This record gives sequence, C-alpha cells and structure tokens, in this order.
Amino acid sequence: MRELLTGNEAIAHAVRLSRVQLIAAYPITPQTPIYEKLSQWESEGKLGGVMVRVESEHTAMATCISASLTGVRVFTASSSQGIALMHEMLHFASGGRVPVVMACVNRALALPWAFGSDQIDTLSQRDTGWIQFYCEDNQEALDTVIQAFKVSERVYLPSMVIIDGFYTSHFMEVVDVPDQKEVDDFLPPPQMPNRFDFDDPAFLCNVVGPKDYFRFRKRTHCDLRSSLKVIKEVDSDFGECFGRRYGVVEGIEIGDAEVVLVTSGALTGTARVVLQRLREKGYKVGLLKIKVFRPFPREEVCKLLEGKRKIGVIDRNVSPGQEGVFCQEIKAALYPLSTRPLLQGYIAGLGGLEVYPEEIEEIFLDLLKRSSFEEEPIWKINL
Amino acid sequence: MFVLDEIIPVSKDTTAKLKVGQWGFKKPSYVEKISPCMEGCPAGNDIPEFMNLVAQGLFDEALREVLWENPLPGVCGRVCFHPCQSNCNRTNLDTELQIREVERAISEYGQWMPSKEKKEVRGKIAIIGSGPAGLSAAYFLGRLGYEVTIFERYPETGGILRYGIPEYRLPKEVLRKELRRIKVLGVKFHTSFEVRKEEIYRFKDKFDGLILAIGASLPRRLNLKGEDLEGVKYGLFWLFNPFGEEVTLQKVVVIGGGDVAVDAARVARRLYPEAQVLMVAPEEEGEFPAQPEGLQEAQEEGVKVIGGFRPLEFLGHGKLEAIRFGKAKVRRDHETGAYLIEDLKGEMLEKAQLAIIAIGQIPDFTLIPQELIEDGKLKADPWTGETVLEKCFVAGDFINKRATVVDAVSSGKRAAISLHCSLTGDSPKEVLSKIRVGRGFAVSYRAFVTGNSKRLGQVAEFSEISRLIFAEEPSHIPKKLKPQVRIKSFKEVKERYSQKEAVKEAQRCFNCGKCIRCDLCFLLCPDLAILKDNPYRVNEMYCKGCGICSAICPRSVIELR
Repeated sequence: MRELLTGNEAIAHAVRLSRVQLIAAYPITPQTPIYEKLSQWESEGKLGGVMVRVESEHTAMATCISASLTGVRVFTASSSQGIALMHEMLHFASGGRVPVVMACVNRALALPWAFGSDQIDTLSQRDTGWIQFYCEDNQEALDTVIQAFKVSERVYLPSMVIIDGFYTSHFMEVVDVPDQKEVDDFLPPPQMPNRFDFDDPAFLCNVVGPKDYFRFRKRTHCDLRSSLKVIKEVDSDFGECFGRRYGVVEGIEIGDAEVVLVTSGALTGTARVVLQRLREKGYKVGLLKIKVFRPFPREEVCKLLEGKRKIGVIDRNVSPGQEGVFCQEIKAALYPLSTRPLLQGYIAGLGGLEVYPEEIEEIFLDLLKRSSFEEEPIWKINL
Repeated sequence: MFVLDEIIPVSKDTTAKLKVGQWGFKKPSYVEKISPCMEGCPAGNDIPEFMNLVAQGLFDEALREVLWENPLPGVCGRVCFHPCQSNCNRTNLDTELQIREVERAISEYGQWMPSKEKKEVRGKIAIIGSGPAGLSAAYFLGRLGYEVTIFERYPETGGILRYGIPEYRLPKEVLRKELRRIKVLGVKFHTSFEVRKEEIYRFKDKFDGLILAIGASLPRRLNLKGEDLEGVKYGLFWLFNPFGEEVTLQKVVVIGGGDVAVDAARVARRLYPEAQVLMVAPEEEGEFPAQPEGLQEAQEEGVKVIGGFRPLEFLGHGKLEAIRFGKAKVRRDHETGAYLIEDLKGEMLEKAQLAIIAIGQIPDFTLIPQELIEDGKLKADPWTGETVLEKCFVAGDFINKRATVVDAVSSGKRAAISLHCSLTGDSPKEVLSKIRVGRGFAVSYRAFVTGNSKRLGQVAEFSEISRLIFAEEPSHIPKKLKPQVRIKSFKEVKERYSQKEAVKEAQRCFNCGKCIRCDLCFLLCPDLAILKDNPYRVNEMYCKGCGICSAICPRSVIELR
C-alpha cells in the first residue's frame, strides 16, 4: 500500500513487518520518531514484539546482543552521541556474531553541538565489523531494513541501515509499504540457535589467547568480505519479490561519462537532478552511488570507474587530518588499476548544511575543466 | 552454513580453573571486634549482635542474647545511664542509637528462660543482699550450676530496684519478670533475713562460697546544724517509704544533684502537688551528675532547680522551717577525682517544711567483720571482688566507685565468675582478664562459658566503618506522658517502642565489629572467593587480594593483611 511517510516512519514500518521480537533503544534526535512510532504500536498491541526501555544506548546494544544470542530477531536505532556511546558494544556485537539490525540516522557529533546530518557518527564506526548500508530515500530505507535482517541472519554479522538526519528521516515521501504476507514470504522467522542452553552451559564472552584472537578476527573479516555476495543475492531476491533492487553500488549514466561524481546517502537524490540537467545540456557526466560501505564493494567500484579520466567524491563528513572518508575509500579501491583516474575530493553539507543543486553543478563543471588535482579536499560552503 | 563455535569464542570451562589467588600478596581475613558501645557497657552486652536479631524481628533470640550478659534487661532498659549510647559510632553520622529503648523492647517482647549450662550441681552459695549486684551474682552462679540462696533483710527482694527507684521509672511488674527468670535457675530467696556480721563466719562454713552484695546502705550526712530537726530526711531512706502522714506542705527542698535527688524531687511532686519542690545542688545547673533525661523530666514536672548553692544550716524549732544556703562552686581534683566545694560570697534562705538530703550513700562497714576493713576502707579487689577471707567475695555499691545499677550487675557477674574460679582452682584475675570486654570494666560471661574470647580485644572505630550503605536517619524517640498527667500518678513516664519501632531502630545499628552476614563481601567479590561458612572465610585459591571486601565491609570485620 502506498503511503506518505517520513524516512523514520518507513523504517518503523519495516521493523514491524519484519516481525522483530525485541527492540531495545534509547531516544535521541533525530532518530526518536522511530522509537516513538514503535512504542505507539506496542501500546496499541500492534507491534508483536517486546520493547525494552533502557537507560543508555550502551545498554540498548548490550540488551540487543544478549537477546540475539537467545535466537530472536532484534532491532535498535540511534544517532550521533548515542552511536558513539555504543562504540564498545558495537565491537561486542560483531565479535559475538549477532545479527542485530540498527537504524542509524546521521547527525553531527559534538563538539560543537549540532543536529543536522553528517555521516561522521556512522563512519566513525567503520572498523567495528558492522555491515553499513547508506540509503538515499525513504523507500530504500524501508526496503533495506527488511533486506538487512535477511543478510545479517545469514552471515551472523550486525547491520547498520543509515539515513540522513532531518532530510530522509523527517521528509515525507510516497512509500510503498509491502503487505505482511509478502514480507513473511521473503523474510521467514529467524532460524538461529538459542545460545543460552541450560543443559549445556557455556561462557560466551571469554578470554582467549592471542592465537585464537587472531583466528576469530580473521574469520570476522573474511565473513564480512564474503557477505557482499550474500547482500547481492538478497537484493536480487528482494527485486524478484517486490520489484525493487538497489545493488551494492549504482552507476547512473556512467557508460560514456568522462567524469563521474561519487555520492552517498540523500545527496545522491540531488545529484540525480543535476545530472539530468547537465546531460540535457550535452555534458558527458555520470554518477556513482555507494550504497554498501562495509564490506566495501572494491571490485564493483573498480569496474565502473576503470577508464574514467576524472572522478569527484562528495563527502558529507571529514576525517580530520586526512580527507572525506568516502574519498579515501574510493582512492584505496582504485589502487589496483594500472591506469588510475584523477580524483578530487569535495567536502559539503557538514552539520546538516544544505547542499543545493547549483553547488553540485559547480562541482561537475569544476571537474570537467580541472587539469590539476589537489591533495586537499575542496570545501563547499554556501555562505 | 556456519558452525557457531567456530565463529565465536565459547568456553565450557568455568573460571574456577584460574587460580588467581596466587597473584595476590595481601589476603583479607574475618576478624570480629567489639563495638564502642559494647566497650562502654559495664554489663558487656553484645549490642551489635542483639541489634542484628531485633532488626530481623527476632525478639526471643535477642532476649537470649542479652541474657548471656545481663540478667536485668527490663531494669537496665529503663534506668540505665546508657554509657553505650554516648560511645555509639552512629553519633558521627546522625544520632546515637537508642540502645536502652531497644533493650527495653527486647525485655518486653522477647520470651526466653535461661537454664543451667550443665546439669551437674556444683556447690552451695550464699549471697547477702538482693539488689542488682546480688541478683546478678545469683543469676550467673545459677547458670554455672550452683545452688544459690539469697538473704535479704527487707521483706521483699530487689533492694534499690524495689525500694529506691520509683515506679514511674521502673514498674514493680518489670522487676517481678526479671526475678522469675532468676528463680528458674533454682535461686532461693530468704527475705526479712538479716545476716549479722558474726554469722558471716558461720555462713562461710555452711556454704561453699559467699558473696556480700549489701550495697551502700548509709546515707551520706551533711553534719550541719539542725540536721536532726523533724522534717529533715535522707534521700534513699525517704524513697523507701515516702508515704508519711497526709499533710500539706508549702515547700519541699531536695539537696543534691544526682539521680536519687531527682527521684526524691519527682516523688515529692507527686505526693505534694500543692507544694513547691526545689532541688538545690552545689554544681552549676547543667552540670548536675544526674542523668540529663531524668533531670529534664523533673523540670517538666515542675521541679525548680537551683545550682551553685550548698546548705549551711537547717533552721527551725523542733520542726524544720527554713534552710540557709551559701553560694558555692564545685571543683574536681584531677588527681584524686574528689569533689572539692569552694564557698563563695552570697547566701540564700529557703523556707521549707521538708528537706531531703540526697548527696550519696556510703557502705555500712558495721555489717561486716572487722577483718575485712583496714583504715576505714574495705580490703577487697574492686575488679575480682576478692577479699581477705577465703571464698568470700564482695560486689555492688559496697565496693563500686560508681553507684549505678549496671555497674552493680557488672560487679555481680565478675564476683560470680571469680568465686567460681576460686572454687575450681583457677586464678580469678587471670580468667577475668581473658574475658574482659575491651578496656572497660565488663567481662563476657559467654566468652567465659564458650572459651571464645577472640573478638574482645579490638574495638571497631568509626573511621574503619564503611558508611556506603548507611543513609542519614535520626532515631525515633518513644513518647512520654504529658507532665500534667505524670504528676497525678506513678504511672511509667516513658512509653515503650512498638515492635515495629524497635525493629526500625535496630536496623539503624552499624553492628560495628560483628559480621551479620549482610553478604556485601560475597556479592561484590569479583573472584567469588568468599565462602559463606560460619564464620565466613576467604578462599585463598581465588582471592587476589583486591581488598574490595575489606573496604566495603560496613562492620569493619574484614582486615587486609
């Protein structure tokens, strides 16, 4: 059924449709409406699962981890400082191989205090061993949550489904909300063992020697790498069931493009409009949307960008002392190519600053005429 | 498919495998101590232990506990000057524990009868005097298995408890209850039986041992002009039988500032409601030796108090008409401890029809053989009660410096144990010092019987107590009758705690020095190294000596060494 929903509401619908059995979360702007919606349904008896009220995000994640170890499907949501507070438990979740799904609504990290979208809260958790999906719009957010449960429960690794705070999270769009039956067919109840077996007691967070530690870390890495295959399969199955698929990356007008701009999240939507305008004017430009950030789709990126002369990367984040995080990752992915394209990083929209189509157009035009490329990113600040 | 045990670490071993105890170089151990209140109690009551029992509502067990050390909890729970309370560690947090009121509650709600420690009958003991010292000695000798007979010269038993302390402080029924517990031990009473001093030798032969607990039976005199006038009385003598002819008086003057003086004044208020009752003492007001609570109650009842005066002369023709007072100041000689009264300029004349002199009591040496006296003093050891006569011990005010009920109980207990030791061939001094409670005058009867006196040496100080679990919560003080109601009768002034109130008050107790199995150590030990044995122990195989248990113990019984 088509409904007018915010991105937060779309995620809440996905959680309900996925028949999540336990939700432990703590409110934080701009994620709170997800929590509120689920809470409302719980009080109306429409949720089916249990909501656990906790005193912090750290505990929310700890609760999700323990619950997941009993074999139930769990969900949480957070933003910004909340995700930062969870950091320790995020490592526990991936190391404990629990298929927790968490919606992350990007918001700037203090200091200074700010509320707008900025990807640094989730990108700071890059190395925690979680799968990360960056979604462009409300429909994708809903679809990706359902997909994420299926992926995570297959690979025993947790997933973050990420949207932009106040853009995707609070803007309303028409969203196709699938029927429960369709979702049930696509996503059957979890088939995970209950690790709390009273007849066969065991300790799950034990100390190990360095050899075992090494082995488990390697295993987590390898499984996270090979989850890319699973993500593609699940996306493809989803496309068959629901008629929508997203890919791990998406190339738009990329075949004959001379320059390609790499984007992620809600910015991609704006870039699509700009791309259309420039194409109409005859410019040979293309767009590459990165949807799956972890595991990083190295091969897919290489395949799409090989042979291109100039690449630009827009980052709504910055890793101080280096550059935008997506930019670094694209550079690293392109390293194996024998002829590497020239690449320029752009930082835009930090702290929720609006990125207008005109600015993205400027970036495209800048790329087209640019002959020398800077090591430092170019800061797009629309004062 | 994933094999879960390959992707996450799983251990089927328990941490018992890790013998972390070998990491530590310090180990905690449970060392029980005594509490400051216990050290302050001349009877050696195990206050932290009985508070723990009351806190759980176990009044019967608490009474059993009290009766190990004090045969008169109903009496002491009312009239004791409670030195325990001024020592209470809780004073440093909010207010002292109302130990005396809880002891009274135990005596009221607890049901327990003492019995002999062993069935065998030892010897026959005679005790002269049935006051608190005599009763205490009889009780402990009874428990030890002796056949005890008490000889009392008055028609009824109890001595000062019956004749000296008025009913509004100590109802006679309370005394009867205490006596029943002593009689259960087979103690026999011969009342209206005066033992003359010539008979003491005969008694010594007839009995295996003898304890003289004859009190300080003579009033201290002023030796002033007019002291023999009609209407001049002596405190305790007057209290023994204050109900004279029915006369109306305008003014009663009580001379003295101690507890007996206060009682004399309060009894006078009740018997002569129309008369003005005045208490005059040489001490400054506020420095009277009486218990402040009793003095305050007296003032509430309308007794007027004047400090800084001493009587100079009783005036009258045959009958007392007035008393001449001189301004005075009391000084205490730091070396001898004696009171020195210094006269100052200034006089005061008080009309009075009745004067009650209550400035203390002295022992009557004419009641005992000359052999026991030397230079006007009793030849006896105030600690053991030993005298120059073999198997003849003394106890109570007859020998005590401080004339209080609880000191009499204490001395009766010591004399009983000393006598027993001398009969079994042990040295009373040695034995008593082994069971001495801290640095005080008390000895522990339980330690004597059980042979366990380990905890008696050390005192748990406030600085060693972890206050983590104690929130501020001041005492609840029981209600008292209104002053205008009090003076109309001899009804007990202070109400008792309800069981609930007693439990609540007992729960305030820190239980200093006494493990009450609160389990904080057990719960907080990161190595599960606390063994809940009796007493608790530390499993050294797993204790790595972090010291959490010792730091958090609210009783200060865990020491890290």
